[in-house]
Amino acid sequence: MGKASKDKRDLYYRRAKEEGYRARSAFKLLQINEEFGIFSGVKRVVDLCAAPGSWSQVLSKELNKDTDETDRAKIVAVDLQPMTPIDGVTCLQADITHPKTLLKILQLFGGEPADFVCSDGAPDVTGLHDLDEYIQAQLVLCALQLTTCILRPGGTFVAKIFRGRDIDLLYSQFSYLFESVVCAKPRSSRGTSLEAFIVCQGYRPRPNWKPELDLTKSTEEFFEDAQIGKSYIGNDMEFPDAEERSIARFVACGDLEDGDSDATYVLNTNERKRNLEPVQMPTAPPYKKALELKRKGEMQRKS
Amino acid sequence: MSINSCNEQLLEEINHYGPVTALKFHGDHLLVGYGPVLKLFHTKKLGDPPIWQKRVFKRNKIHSIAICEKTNTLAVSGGRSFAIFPMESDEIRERAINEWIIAVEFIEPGKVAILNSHNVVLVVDINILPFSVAETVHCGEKSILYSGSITKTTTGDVYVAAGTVMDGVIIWNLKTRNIVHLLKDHEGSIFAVKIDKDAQYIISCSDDRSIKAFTFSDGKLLASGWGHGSRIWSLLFGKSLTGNLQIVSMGEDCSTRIWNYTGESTLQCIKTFEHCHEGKHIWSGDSNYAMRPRLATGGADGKVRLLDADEEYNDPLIFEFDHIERYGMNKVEDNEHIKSFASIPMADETIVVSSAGRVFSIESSRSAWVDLEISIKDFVSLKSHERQTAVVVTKSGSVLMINQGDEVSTEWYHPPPEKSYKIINVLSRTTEIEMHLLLDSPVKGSPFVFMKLDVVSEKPRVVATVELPKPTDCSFTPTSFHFDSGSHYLFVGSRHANVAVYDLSQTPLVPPYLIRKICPGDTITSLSTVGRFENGNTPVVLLTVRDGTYLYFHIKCHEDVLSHEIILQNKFNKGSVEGGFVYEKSLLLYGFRSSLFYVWNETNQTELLNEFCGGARRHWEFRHWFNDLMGGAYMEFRFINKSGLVLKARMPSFSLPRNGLLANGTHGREIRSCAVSDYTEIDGSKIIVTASEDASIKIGKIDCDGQMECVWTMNNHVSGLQSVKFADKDHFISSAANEEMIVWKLHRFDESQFSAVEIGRLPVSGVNPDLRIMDFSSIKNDQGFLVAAVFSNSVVKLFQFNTSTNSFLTIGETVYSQFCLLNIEFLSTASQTFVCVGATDGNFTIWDVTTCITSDLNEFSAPIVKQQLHQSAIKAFAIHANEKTGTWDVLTGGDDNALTHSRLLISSSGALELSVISFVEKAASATITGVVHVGEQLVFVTSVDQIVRVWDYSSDLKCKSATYTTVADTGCCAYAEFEDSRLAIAAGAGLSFFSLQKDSKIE
Ligand SMILES: C[S@@+](CC[C@H](N)C(=O)[O-])C[C@H]1O[C@@H](n2cnc3c(N)ncnc32)[C@H](O)[C@@H]1O
Repeated sequence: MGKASKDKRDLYYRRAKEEGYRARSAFKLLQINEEFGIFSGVKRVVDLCAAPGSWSQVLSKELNKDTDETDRAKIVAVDLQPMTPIDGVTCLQADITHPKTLLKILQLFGGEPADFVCSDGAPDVTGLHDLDEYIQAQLVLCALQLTTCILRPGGTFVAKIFRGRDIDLLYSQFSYLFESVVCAKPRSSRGTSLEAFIVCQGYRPRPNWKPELDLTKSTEEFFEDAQIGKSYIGNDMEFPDAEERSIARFVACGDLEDGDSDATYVLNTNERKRNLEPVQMPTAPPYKKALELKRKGEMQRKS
Repeated sequence: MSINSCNEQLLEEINHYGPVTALKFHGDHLLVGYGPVLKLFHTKKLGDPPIWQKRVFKRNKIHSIAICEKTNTLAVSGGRSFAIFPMESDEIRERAINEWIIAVEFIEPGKVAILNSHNVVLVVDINILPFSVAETVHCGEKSILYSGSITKTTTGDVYVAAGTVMDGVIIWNLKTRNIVHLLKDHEGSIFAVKIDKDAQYIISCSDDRSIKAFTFSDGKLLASGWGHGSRIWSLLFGKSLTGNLQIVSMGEDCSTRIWNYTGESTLQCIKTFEHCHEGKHIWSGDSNYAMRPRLATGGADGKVRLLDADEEYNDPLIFEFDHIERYGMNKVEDNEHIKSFASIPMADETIVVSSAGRVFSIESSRSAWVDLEISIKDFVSLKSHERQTAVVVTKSGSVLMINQGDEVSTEWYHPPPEKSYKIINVLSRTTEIEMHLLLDSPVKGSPFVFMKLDVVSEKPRVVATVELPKPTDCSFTPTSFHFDSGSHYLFVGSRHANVAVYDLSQTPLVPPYLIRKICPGDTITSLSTVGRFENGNTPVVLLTVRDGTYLYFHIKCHEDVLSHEIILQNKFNKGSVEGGFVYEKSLLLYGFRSSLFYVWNETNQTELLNEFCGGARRHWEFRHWFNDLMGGAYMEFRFINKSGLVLKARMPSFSLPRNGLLANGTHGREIRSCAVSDYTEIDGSKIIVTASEDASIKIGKIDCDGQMECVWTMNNHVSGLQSVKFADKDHFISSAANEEMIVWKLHRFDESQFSAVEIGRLPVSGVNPDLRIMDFSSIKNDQGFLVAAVFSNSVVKLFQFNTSTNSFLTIGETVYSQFCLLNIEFLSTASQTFVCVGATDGNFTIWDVTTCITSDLNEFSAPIVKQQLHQSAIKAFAIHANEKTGTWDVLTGGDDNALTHSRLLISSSGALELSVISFVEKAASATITGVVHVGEQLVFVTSVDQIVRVWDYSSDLKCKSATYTTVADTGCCAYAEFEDSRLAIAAGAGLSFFSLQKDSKIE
């Protein structure tokens, strides 16, 4: 183990391996469901930012538990990255911040509404916290944009958030659209990470607002008439002094018996060996060529 | 009253250290975007405070700065905010748009263009108030942008260069709204893209870690460059000597690279400044080729540096032996070559001895060779003094002194004939006025010969020779030495890290005090005096070892018996250390790293320079001296390679030791814990320790104005830090992952200097040290400290740390459950000792550990209090004795955003009772990460929502004041009480100081 690195192979990592999930994230969704029962009655789902696909795996398994072949849940999974196919899941490789992607998803549902939209999306963090938080918030807003176009009234929306400096703005905006908005922290999500999930139940479309995808509009512009307490800056560009903020109720979820992702557990040596290969499939990073050049010693330091 | 902002005047941010996110040159000045604060520095006045600083935004960080030179107006932007104001103005009005701002630029004196993250430009008319959007312009392609720039070309056209997340680079014309180019050559998100003023080139970089240059006219890819080890955040246009395209790049790997386009498909990297900043990320940069310095960089470490990017500095002077022919001389042997050299930099001369034993002098600036017409037989060594002297030592110990005064003169010194030395090795040292030599011969029983030469009189002369008995029963090959004239101690360092200390004031001379293996490592490469212990006259000596270890030690003399004490020990790990010295309060180290020679400022943790030399050399010399004439410290590095003698000199504009450091900072990674000593130093400051996730610990001083000076960056830990706390005035303790816990001792010397050294370390318990020691607490006792620690595997342990043996003894232990434990504090009464522990399951647990301490019983008894105070992790807590009621107040902050106040009562029977007094469910909008007591029933609380708050717990918890902090990932806090001011400190991605005002008016 290198300097300052921390063993990422914790309890949940090992359980993911054992139970055949592609990522430990699976337990986050399972624990959220345990607490809020969000899967009940769900037949049509959009899983945004789904790669490598452990949420889709959970959905495909849990939603089809007591159903026969003819009545299987419709699951559409979207990600920038390619995904290995999952039985009963339609995969779409696309950028969710692009309005065209949302149109495609709507088409895949053929006009039918969805019961549940979830997004576990996270951008590559730069390390510049304000930028990272902004991009994360944009990703959540894009997911919300699709949600307002496709979710049936009363439906559920779950999205990953970073609990940073402006998270109270998001809480406030969401509370205009859902009966209940809660910040959930599954025990399988590390306590040291800012990650949490916004669990929004009971979708209430805004009265007098018809969400409409317009390819020429940005996400911010999309919500302009929704009246969800977003402060819009007018032509005078005056800085909004007090923006609407609120704090969502916090709920820790997952059974205490499930274990703690921050704790270190004793492993026997066999277990260690067996678990060495990663659960997540390697993706093709844009800097593949740079890595290759480095390996061959062809990076330039100085002519 | 909002929980995000109230009574802000009671909690005033007086200073902060954090990422530098924007830079802009303005003539001799540099504008610096320091979080929400804009600062103006003079680039010629290193070390001066900024000329002015203005808070331009309430919350957002400045990401872009533009100047209208004609009207002296500034436009700055960051996040959704922007502000436009005359340079001198203090009335700054923050304005905003609805999207993230990528760039701002003046396109006409009265018009500012703002590029947003959807590739839309808002043209703002600033001539009439209130400002208004004159136009909203887009090119039809509303991709999401990561980067971009607006360029007004010399012909008056305005182009937008948009770096998208997914779709490459889009270049469009603001006026016609036409897309000029769609460049798809990169993979991944575009992190920077620029167009030059003459609209000749487009340069860009992306997540693929390459830099690309395109012709503006046809969008054709000209060349790519690969070199950065991670993401590249900024690109600038440089200025090459040939007039060809030059690019400057900087990014995550903290290097700045200069690339030339030479017509080939690969960009040529002509210069790499490594370790410009500490940790990770150079976030900002700017160039100014109209004057010196050329480049500025700003890092996540809060530092601002100026770099000398002149290409000509890269070119070394090379003196080849064949050059003698130009001066009418001939070789006397076919392959006669430079055997040895020594420079006399203040005389601009280099003395050379050839393989045939001839001696030459070269005037460096003219490369003029002069034959001194001396022939040396049995040559052993050539050494020099900076001012005007060189000496040649021969096998018999004879010394030829060459004086480069107005005239060159030479004189021999011969040892008494009966000595018959067989010298094979000579070491030399110089002081202002003297030159010291240490001559070594391999003959068994032979002494070292120590010589002192006076080099400032008319002619150099040997003023003393002393024979030193060598240490017996140990092979001792001297590798460096140092004579401290104040104490008359002579220190000789050798291979295997042995040190011999001679007391030259003793007559007759007694055998040396030998320190065997003073530290790990092999060759001692330098020794020098860096300060004095106030009592007595003993020097504090810096010792460096080639493998990177360096230390400070001093000699104690008790009834004529010498001993030593190490008061600092650290390891440098970015190259071999060939020497070190202290210059104007900075410790400088130098040596070789791969193919480079480097000079490093250990105090500031930045590289001063590196020079390509093809790897460690056998014959090389590094000189530094103060040059009055040129007004700065001068550095020269010389070495011999195949072609001859190579000289690289550094201009004094970048004088040592700051070498372009315009603003100092702190860790370049997140700070995980910080602590301030209760003790106030004699200079009125306090010692502060910060511990970062990159495994480094910084020890520095803060004053009552929140100004911090980092002095030491310790590398003893190898894994991410968890906690650091003071144990008493002279000790602090730190804990980290990999089961590391270290006890440190502070030493104070001279007027106001200090150092720190590891004195004890907890032995690792198992084979796989994958446990994190999350936190600990300590109490001073007779033997040292009682230490209690919590581990990530739910174990609580109690130790006795003994300060005479410097070892830990486990005296108690228990397992809590399966949950990670996060924090621990001792609580003691006259008869009992308790430990209080917070866990990830939200429980607060107390054990009575009195019996573990007073008896041999090792196992804790069952907890006497276990109460769930939070839904999930208790991230921080503070305990404070309440004198009035004889109880303890416990304030806990949770991952669940809640803050609780509980009261702990110890009954006369010794039973404990914890009761919750007050509970605020939504005490922050995100995880509370720090709670510290800051006076009469008050706590200072930090949380990751970047709001710092002071809560009053005298009755129901009440938020007394709340204000925003620009420090992101706010993870810990501390408190410092000065004579007439009180500071609260919040740390995370930076460090911020708040002055706590006593309020009289607010109830
Ligand atoms: C934490 S992973 C999701 C893990 C997934 N829920 C699972 O259980 O396997 C985050 C994903 O977000 C995706 N993502 C980030 N930005 C995106 C975007 N703009 N559009 C689509 N996917 C995106 C990334 O490609 C990444 O695969």
